[in-house]
Amino acid sequence: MLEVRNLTKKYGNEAAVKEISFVADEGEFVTLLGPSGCGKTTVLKAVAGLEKPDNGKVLLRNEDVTGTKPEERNVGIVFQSSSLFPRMTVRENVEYALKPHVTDRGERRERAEDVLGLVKIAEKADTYPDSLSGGEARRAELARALSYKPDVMLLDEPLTGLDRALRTEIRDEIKRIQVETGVTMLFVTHDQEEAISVSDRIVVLNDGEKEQAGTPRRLYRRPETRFVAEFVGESTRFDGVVEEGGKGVRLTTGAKVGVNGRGEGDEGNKASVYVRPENVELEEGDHNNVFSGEVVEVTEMGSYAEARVETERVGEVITKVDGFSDVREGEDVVVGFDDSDAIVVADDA
Amino acid sequence: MRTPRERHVFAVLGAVLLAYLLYPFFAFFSGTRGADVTGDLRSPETQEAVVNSLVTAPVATAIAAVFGVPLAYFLARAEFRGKGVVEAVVILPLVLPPVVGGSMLLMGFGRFTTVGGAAEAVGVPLTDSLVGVVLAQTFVSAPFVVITSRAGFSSVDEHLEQASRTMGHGPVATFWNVSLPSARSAVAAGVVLTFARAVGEFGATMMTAYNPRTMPTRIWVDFIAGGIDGVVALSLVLIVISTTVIVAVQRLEKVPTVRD
Repeated sequence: MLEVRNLTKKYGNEAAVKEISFVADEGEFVTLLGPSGCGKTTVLKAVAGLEKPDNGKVLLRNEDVTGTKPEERNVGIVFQSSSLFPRMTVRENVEYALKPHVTDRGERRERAEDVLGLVKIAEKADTYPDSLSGGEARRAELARALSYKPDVMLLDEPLTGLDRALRTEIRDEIKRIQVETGVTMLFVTHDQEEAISVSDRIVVLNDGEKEQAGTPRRLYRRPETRFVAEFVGESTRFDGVVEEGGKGVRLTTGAKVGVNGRGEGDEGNKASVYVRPENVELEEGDHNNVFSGEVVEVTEMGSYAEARVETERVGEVITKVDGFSDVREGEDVVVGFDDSDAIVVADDA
Repeated sequence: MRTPRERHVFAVLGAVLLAYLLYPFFAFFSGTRGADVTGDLRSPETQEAVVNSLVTAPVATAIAAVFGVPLAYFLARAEFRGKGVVEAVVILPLVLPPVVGGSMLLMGFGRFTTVGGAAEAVGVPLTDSLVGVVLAQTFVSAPFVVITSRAGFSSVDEHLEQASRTMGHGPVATFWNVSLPSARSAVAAGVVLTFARAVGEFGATMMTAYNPRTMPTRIWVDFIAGGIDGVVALSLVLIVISTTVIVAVQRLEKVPTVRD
């Protein structure tokens, strides 16, 4: 459905995007994830035809649309800030979007009502944008962009500026609409939780370059670069040198962490080992990486708490425990994790 | 301004200027009671001047709007080398003394110039004619619609236009349906201010078209011939027009008025 091939965009001498390539299949929910200024919005605008790339191609339905104007592409877009037309009601906004695609006025009205119903904003059809709440405005924009059945929907951080509850509500709504309509979505966000929760596939960008693309599970469990390991999800990092044919990593502290062959091929190379907090337990169990230490900080998050344990042999280790549990700062504990849960990223990655 | 006392300082200083602005009105209305306003308004010369002004000023305003609003939009959206020079050219007629502008217009469009001569040959003299009045009015008043509209377009979120383009609307349809309605208060205010400036234009008009007379040139002629009493009727007409313009502008919002 959508293919971005070797896309490069420069502003002056500065490359905002360098040789980015990825594909979004029909009906797929693909997310461009990265920190502010990584080039994700530039990619989105190039797909929409709002930015002209210096190099590379954008293909929609296997057709090269790189040189075409935005109005010739059949894409829908929802921006970070509201782009509803202030002098039109919600219904007029949608009907205006339908105008180039549907010539019959009656059909336009009918389709507008259908799509407003789909995004659950029908009761605000005759309301002007300045009287809508943040959530309603987002729904109206989604309806408008969906109304003419675009080949691909582009969402540029559409949850920015909404409170936490509304973010979750609109995020789930976007996913529901995508599943119900089967529209291909390209979603841009800097929020890794948001990306993981809605995406079929995530493309991680950093400093204008693609770091890694894959399913949320793949990115979380098997990050291929240091940036992805640290940007997607939280973890404890240990630095060392791969040994034993990739079965272990000797840390700079002298201790060894078993990594179950994850360092294969990197024997003798410097590498970092990452362990997710939910894979670390405050008990010895039958884990093959066990270290004793002291709880130095407990941060309550409600449904869970994050405990930081200072160990003598491997330094600080972060673990998740039940919310408002009995774990106390100053308590002597052991932390354990399986070597199969270790993520190894070579230093040159 | 944190305290009422601080506010008073500003109010007192402002009141001095306000008094100065109001005093001439007071003096005008109280010192011209002997004038024959009704009689003057009925005179053919006065009526001709009113008609000339009310014919030429709307034409000049329309010309300024038709070409000035697109220029304003272009300046609000485009980045290009020499943009500063273009902006300076737009502002220049505002700061230039009108008589200087009139002199330049004479040198460009006078009957002994190539352009003026050619126009005169086909029966459309560009000076000492209503066309000449329109040329002068357009020159001095057009900056108002460009500057005000430009500010209006600049305040329109570009995402609105980008969204419209992705929906399948071209740049002209987007301008007409999205940009212009979104900036309509500022554009309308610019048009009204342009009209106000055009209808009151004197300096440049004196140079390009002393005849036929407009209200301001008629006021000058009547003043020279009959003193201050002779200008009261037409001055009142212009004061009414100006007051109407201020009310219109204030109702249009988001414009350079003294209202919040």
